[in-house]
Amino acid sequence: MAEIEKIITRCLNGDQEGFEALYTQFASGIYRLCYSLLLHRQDAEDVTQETFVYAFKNMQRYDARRASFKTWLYTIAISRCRNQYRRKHPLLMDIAQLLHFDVPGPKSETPEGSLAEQNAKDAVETALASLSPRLREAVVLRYGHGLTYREIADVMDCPQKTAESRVRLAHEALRGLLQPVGVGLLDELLSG
Amino acid sequence: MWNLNCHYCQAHLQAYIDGELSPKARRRVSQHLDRCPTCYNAYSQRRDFSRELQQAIPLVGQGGTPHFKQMWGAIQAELPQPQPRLYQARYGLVLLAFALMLIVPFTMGHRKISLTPPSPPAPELLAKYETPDVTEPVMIATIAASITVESEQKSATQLPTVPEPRHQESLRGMDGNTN
Repeated sequence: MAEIEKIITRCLNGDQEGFEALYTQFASGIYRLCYSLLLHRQDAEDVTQETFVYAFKNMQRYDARRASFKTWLYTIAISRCRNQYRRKHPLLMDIAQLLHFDVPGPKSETPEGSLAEQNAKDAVETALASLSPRLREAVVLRYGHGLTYREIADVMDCPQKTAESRVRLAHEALRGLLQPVGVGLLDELLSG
Repeated sequence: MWNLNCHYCQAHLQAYIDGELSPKARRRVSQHLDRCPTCYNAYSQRRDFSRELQQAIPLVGQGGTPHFKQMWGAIQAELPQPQPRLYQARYGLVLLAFALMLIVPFTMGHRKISLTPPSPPAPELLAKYETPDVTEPVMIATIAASITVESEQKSATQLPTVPEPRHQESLRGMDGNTN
């Protein structure tokens, strides 16, 4: 039996340390997913918390034959994020806003360098925010969390071909949004 | 020149880069990329940007310091708490009841309690209390007649007006007395 299955069995037997082990293992990933989709720290924390509470209270519903525990958690998190989209204002931003980002300078240890890095991160966040929620989910799951198209389809509850086309469309949209900003933008981000 | 193969290649380019194509489709795209500079150029740009995204998107949300401990505290508060072990109290009650069963007889009258089973009665006593064999008809008739005489005497002295019951007449007939 896999390690994660053993922990889940412990949780089902009421072992509180099992829940903590699962939280320690997945909290960071779930928070990053929620933040990438909601682009708001407090909302991401709230949704992360809701996701774990729901998952831990409904642990008996998890079926290891259908999906991995990670995929199951991601499905819950995506569902909670969608609820959050409905409650909040849409995240779509004006594309023109992107064009006013400063092109980062060369990487350095100076405050200017870290500021440029922060600008680059902000540019990616803003580009993500300009995508529709479905495209953002697809590209974040693919490039942010390394899920396969099959897993993305499971998490997003859509056919695999749809997941694939969403990743492709999101990819094209991001290229269109980020490339005009400057050649050094992603280089700066990645070298940081 | 743009042809059907270019169209097929462009449609599957992202899956090709992401390593999600079947071996057959992968071979087809690969063969086309070897022959078509336009598609290869598109592939090259897309591949580079995919690599950048693979490194850039995971960084989103990593800058801040989320309150993981506080979140865990809130999650713990909502988790189903393990049930208290009631069986210990139950066993305590059983022990208390047992102790009372032992103590109460001592406090009421200071009688000794024998926990050994009672000894069986002696054979003479058994013979004394043995029930007589009353199955013979003669014995039954004799006993019935004596009961009838006694009851008649009582009824004559106490309740003269009450008529005699039928079964007594029949008994009298059995005895041969016609009073």
